[in-house]
Amino acid sequence: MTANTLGKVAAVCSIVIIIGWGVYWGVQVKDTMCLLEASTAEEMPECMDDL
Amino acid sequence: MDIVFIFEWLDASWLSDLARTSAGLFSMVQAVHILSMIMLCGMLILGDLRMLNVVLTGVPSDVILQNTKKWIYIGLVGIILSGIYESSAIAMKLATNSFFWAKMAGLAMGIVFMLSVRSAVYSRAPEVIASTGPKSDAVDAWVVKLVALANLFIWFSVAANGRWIGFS
Repeated sequence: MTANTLGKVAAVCSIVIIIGWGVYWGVQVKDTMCLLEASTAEEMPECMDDL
Repeated sequence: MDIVFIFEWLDASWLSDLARTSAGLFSMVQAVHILSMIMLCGMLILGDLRMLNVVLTGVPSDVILQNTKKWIYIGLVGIILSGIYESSAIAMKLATNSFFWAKMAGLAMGIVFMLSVRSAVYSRAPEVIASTGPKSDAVDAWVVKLVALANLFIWFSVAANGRWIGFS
């Protein structure tokens, strides 16, 4: 494989991984914040419907 | 594909009995699991930060990669063997644990990425990063740095999901 082709393949794989990582942890942090809110709130927060 | 039968088999195995009844051995294996993870991630982080020109910039990257390779494999074998023992104690709980599956997906992705893309790209790092003289078939420096960043992100997820299993 030429350096040019390898560079393109590696760049695409890395960008997909980094974007996927951001989406995954974004959802995890959002869910965790919702659970934290639910643990202290008197009424069930709306975000619990999306979990 | 339904693979719950693997967890049922593990749950009923002698390994599971041993893990549940011997707290002392379990804690020692747990320590081996954590130390193996530290060794694996430590060696990977060292290589990746070198490629990002953050640490040991005066040392040729080939030297660092060559010397960390063996310890990466030892760490990998350590986490897999100790992980099987640890998971046998709570096999049925793990079968439905989303963080466990996220960790396994990250681990599989990390191994494939490390052995294919990371290995191929790092061996063709340009002189500005590798400091081993000009290479005729070098990849762009920004690609090397992007691969290093992606690899760090993958192994962060493996470690973080591993800890999260304990809280779920």
